[in-house]
Amino acid sequence: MRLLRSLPVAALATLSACTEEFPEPLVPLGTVPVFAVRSVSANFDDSSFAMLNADGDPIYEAWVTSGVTPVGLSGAIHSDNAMPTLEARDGSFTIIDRAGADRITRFQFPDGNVLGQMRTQVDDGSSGFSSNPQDVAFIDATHALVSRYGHNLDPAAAPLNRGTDLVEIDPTTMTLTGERVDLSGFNTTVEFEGDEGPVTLDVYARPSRMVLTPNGFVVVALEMISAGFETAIDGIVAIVDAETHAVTSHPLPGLENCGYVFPVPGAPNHVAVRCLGYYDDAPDEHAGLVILYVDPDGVVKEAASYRASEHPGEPNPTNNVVMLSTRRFVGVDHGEWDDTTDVDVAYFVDLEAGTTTPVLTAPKGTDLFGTMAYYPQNGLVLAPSRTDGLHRLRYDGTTVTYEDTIRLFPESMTVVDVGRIR
Amino acid sequence: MSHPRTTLACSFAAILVIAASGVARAQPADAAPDCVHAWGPACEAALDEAALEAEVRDPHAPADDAPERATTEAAADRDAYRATAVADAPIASTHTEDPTVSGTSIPLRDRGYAGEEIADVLPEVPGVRLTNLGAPGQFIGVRLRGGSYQQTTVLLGDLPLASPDTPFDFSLVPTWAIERVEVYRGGAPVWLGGGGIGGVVRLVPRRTRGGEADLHLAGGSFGTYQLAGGLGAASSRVATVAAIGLAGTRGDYPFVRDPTPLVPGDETIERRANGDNVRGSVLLGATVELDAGTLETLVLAVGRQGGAIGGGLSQALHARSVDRQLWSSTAFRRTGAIGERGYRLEARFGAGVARSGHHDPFGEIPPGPNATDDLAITTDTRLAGSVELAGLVELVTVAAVQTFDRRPHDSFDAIQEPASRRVRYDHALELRLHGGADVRWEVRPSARLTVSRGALRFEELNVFEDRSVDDVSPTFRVGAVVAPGSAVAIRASVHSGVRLPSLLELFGDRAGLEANPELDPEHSMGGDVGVSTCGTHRLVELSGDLTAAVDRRRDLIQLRKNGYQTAQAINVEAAWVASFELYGRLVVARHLRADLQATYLLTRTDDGFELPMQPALSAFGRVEGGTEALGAHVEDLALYVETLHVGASSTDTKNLAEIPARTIVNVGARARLFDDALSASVELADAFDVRGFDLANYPLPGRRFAVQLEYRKDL
Repeated sequence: MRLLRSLPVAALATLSACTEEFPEPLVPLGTVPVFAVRSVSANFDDSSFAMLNADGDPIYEAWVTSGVTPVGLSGAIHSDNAMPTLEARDGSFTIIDRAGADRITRFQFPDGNVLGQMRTQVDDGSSGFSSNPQDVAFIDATHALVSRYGHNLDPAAAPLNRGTDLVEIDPTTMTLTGERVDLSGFNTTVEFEGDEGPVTLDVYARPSRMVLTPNGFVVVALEMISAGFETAIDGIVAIVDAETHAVTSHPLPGLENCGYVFPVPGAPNHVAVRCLGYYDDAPDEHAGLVILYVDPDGVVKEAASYRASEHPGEPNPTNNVVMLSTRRFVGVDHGEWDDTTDVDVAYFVDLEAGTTTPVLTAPKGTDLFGTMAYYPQNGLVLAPSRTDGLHRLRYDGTTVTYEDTIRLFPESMTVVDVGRIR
Repeated sequence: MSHPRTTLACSFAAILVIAASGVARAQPADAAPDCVHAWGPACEAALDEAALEAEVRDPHAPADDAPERATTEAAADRDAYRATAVADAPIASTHTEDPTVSGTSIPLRDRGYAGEEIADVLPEVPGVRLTNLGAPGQFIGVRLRGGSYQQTTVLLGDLPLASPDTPFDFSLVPTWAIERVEVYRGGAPVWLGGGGIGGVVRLVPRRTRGGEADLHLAGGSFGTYQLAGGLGAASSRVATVAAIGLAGTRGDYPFVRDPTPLVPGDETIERRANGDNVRGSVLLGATVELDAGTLETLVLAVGRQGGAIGGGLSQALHARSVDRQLWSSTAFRRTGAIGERGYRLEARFGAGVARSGHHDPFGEIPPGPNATDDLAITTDTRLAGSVELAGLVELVTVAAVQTFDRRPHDSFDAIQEPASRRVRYDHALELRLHGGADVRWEVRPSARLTVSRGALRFEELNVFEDRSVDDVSPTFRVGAVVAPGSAVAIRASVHSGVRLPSLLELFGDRAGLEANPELDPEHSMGGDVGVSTCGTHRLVELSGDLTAAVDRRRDLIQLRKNGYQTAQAINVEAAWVASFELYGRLVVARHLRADLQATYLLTRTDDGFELPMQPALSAFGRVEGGTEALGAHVEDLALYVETLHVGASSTDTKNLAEIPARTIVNVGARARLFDDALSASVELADAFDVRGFDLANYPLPGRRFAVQLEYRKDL
């Protein structure tokens, strides 16, 4: 297995020794994958991506890892990274290295060419800054918007290093275009009872995940968390016109820490927003899932919701959600950390029928399941588990059933996210 | 001339002091018992075994280890050594403390290598892995035998400088305040507080060699400078030592900046920013010989102020930090005999105050903006003693109580990390059985009990709650050594160790790091076997040590994410750690000197991976050719070449990525002039500009030069 793991490195080393081609390719896959699975090492220092076909079978395990180049200032890819909520679906694969590395890397399927690697900020010489990119919304072939969670406190920072915005890139050249959508107007303050009495805290918008709707709007989830992560206020989604960059918003009263937004299969201009609640308070009181419809004018209407506070005494299945339709989703109720009695349970939730049906049970709590993915063409739902590997579920249009669990190499890596690539 | 018997007793008492603490000395006659002196032979003590054996043992002399052994440390001053020797043949060892322990001692004074820091010396010791953030004055951590920083015990004399809650930064202590550095791997001598997992690094404070004054000047690349001076004075009853120094740097060395490693050709050369700092240090020591015993006091103050260097990917430009530490120790020691049974007693009180501030208004360095003013206060009270129970049996007991109070404050935080307190009680008992004539032997079984309470006052929503975690951790060590002669000793030991969880790991920080009061201490159990040699054959002098060690570590603590935005320390891993450690020093006709250490470290977790940040192979070698006396004013002219190899190490627990190996070469020259009153040296470090990394994102400086002048005068 160690030999297998080293193959991409060896191949890369061999290729780099034999050719001056730019950029250097990874191992060719032979086919375009449908899913990518992100795993991280136990100490969260390095990461690895496996590529899977439409049935969830591995095409290449550990296809790209932090170690495909020697570690200097950083590894080839970071440990704290993510895949876009919606890939470009042009045969490319994108990795977003978040805080600390602040860059985007794109690979070409199936040959593994590196299309480019770019930073999501500039070196303006004013101060150290981490833009902390969270997501990429691919607008067209030459335009994409990158959400930047970081907020630069240096007043002398150049506009492209201010953060709390969407910054435009050209995916073909992997460069910043110089355009940005400033979202710092959502920054505000909150009164907070600190250790030394009441204080006024700055709250930053903290743009996070995004979905581009077919009618041309980028729905951006804003976490609205205080500067020192002491508390959170009600979440907001920003609606950004992909062409004009005009910004409107939709508040999410009673819901906090709303950093995730997902597309809804079969409902093109619908998105689902997931709110975790915040750990300074009883999180479930401010947790929930809201399905929004974005009309052609960019006006947002709430189509459906599941607010945990409206279901007292019941599980809160709004974590790690994957949407199946506007009224159905699979989500996780977290148990207690490391508890073998109060464990994580994944539920199939039907909002129309008002039913919540358990489909998977983890051996322990908390947060053992990662971000899931769904492939409507065959009904496959992939649910990563930190302890068990990758669960395969099947949605037949009415219910969700468990099929099997596969292990991915390296088995001892923690499988945390599954993303649909096409 | 004093009566031989009086001289013997006084010198013996003084040597005991050296063995126990190494602080300022009372008797000039005991000065410099270091035969691995940088200018000296490999092993002088063993040359005169016959003379040693001819000495008559003083029946009233107290029991002690050091004088009974011909160590590679011992007897640059032959007379002092001989005066304290006993009739038993000595036991070869590469340190002074306990011949059953695997250890290495490196004298620091008079080495004469230009611009040296402690971080430059430690790679000469087997089993040591440094983590260096780059510029002089930035954090330097030490791991021993595949352990973590927290598994390394650090002592100033015998005063603990580091606890599980505060890994020690070796960049704070300058070489001119330190007489020698001793590294004990695995189970350490009970007198120094064994029971650790990785081992002990002991910084033995500078001592006086009689009336003396010295001045040290050094400068080099990137605005690096050192300015230090020392004074020593001694009378028949009082000896004092003082050293003061200043060091600084701009720290703006060039590095290759490549934030996008998958895109070749876009690298740029930039200079490190915010690496500037100034460090100051003051050491004061005094020893007073009283009728009842010896009173010793020591004060070491160190400080640093300057830039807080961040990673190279996004360089911090404005973050600043200031660290101030004051350590003091006062000890009373008495040696004597009850009838024919020698004893020694020591009572010591030590205290330390550390204040550190970090001002990062723009949040350039993770986790974000802060303005901290953290205060840590440590006290350490120790009672120790030994007594001969019978001719070949000695009982050693050490009891210590340590308190550690930490009061963090961050004016940027609305929710403060709570103040915490740890109280720790250690008690160790050791039996020392020894004997033999032609074949000397020694067996040291010991047991230690560590009782700890970590506590904090937790305040949440204006409700105060006292939380505490208690721990009782027994450990043991059994060491044995057999010496067929003075030139060779074979030793073995089995030992267990423990590392208490830090208060941060136990109680969290009320933010992203959650509490885990159920956390178990990290444990180890293992052993080592080794052979030490110390001998001479005609013009060739050789000392060395070869050790093989293996131990099992369990309940290793790691931070694990337990939620989207939170993490928690948990016991997750168990591992085997094996190492082979070679240390050697060769002197041929006093003109050719060679030093070597090589360490092969094998670590395997239960799921088959290497422990992160632990290179398999590390090695250091130095070859030096010198003229010795050359004309009326030249004592020695020497040229040397050094090479340091640090093997590749993985950055993560699953060995996905690795920091490449690096091999650097240093070349230099040094001269001793005018009866050793003046020494001058120059060094070109990393001659091939290899640079490299100890830690991802923190590039090390490459090629650089340093020059140094030292002047010494006997007063």
